[in-house]
Amino acid sequence: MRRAPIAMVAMVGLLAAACGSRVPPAPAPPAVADASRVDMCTILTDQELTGLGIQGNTRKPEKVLGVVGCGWLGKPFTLRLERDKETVASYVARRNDPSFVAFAQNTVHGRAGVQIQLRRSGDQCDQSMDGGTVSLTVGVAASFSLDPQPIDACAEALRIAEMIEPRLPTTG
Amino acid sequence: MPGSVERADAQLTGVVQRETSLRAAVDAGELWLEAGVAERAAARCDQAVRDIDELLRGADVLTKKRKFGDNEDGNAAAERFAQAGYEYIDSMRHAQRVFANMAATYRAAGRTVAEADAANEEMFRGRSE
Repeated sequence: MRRAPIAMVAMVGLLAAACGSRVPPAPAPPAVADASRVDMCTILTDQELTGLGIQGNTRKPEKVLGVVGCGWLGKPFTLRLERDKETVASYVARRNDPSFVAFAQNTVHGRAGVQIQLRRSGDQCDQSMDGGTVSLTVGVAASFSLDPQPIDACAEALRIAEMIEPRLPTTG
Repeated sequence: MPGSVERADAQLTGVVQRETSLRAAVDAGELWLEAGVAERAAARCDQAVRDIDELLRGADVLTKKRKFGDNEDGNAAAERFAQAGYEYIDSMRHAQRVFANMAATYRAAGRTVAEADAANEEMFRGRSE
């Protein structure tokens, strides 16, 4: 009669151990410091912008629908650098929005990100990355030319996001 | 009743026709412009091309940020909005092509005068030597 409770305890312990080993806890995403004060208009130097083919004197500040940042003209692409009140997680939740021609999740130096294309022509791409309570976006779009050079807009946006990412606030 | 994008396209068709006839006149040597005037006119067209690039940049933000709600009505509205956005972008790209061609035509008209001046100068120099 006394053996049964002991056996039950042992079974529960074994089951708990077994379940624990079968379902490891999901790895938590790396903590990201709050980037809600990052000034995207000045995060790249004039020299860096020039190196990307951007004309520094075309800078135009923008503040619309929770987006704060700047836009520039250039060749072969125009550029937007923005801080957005909408987070990467909220864009992931909207991944099936009909306005998005293409949507993909990725990382920028380990930081969660999304790539969103808004034009059917495929010559435009927004690369957003996690900034805690905000997201930080690099928007690239081919500028008009009668003799256009084809660009990989998402690859360009990711390359610029990788230039910016080390300058964002980090935890610790 | 045509929408604003269709009306803009119709106006552009008229501009395209004018640009085509100007180009034909320049190519035939019937139309020329003083080089400075031609360059100023061409630069204004180049500016229009850049202005439209800026408008399209703003349109990308609106397209991305506008939310209609994840339900049947919201998705239908979002699809209509996206479709209107695509038509707008196509129309604006068309306008850029028109302005860029117009700039090239003005520059060609300016070159005609510059080339004629150079030829005349060469001719006079030849006679005076």
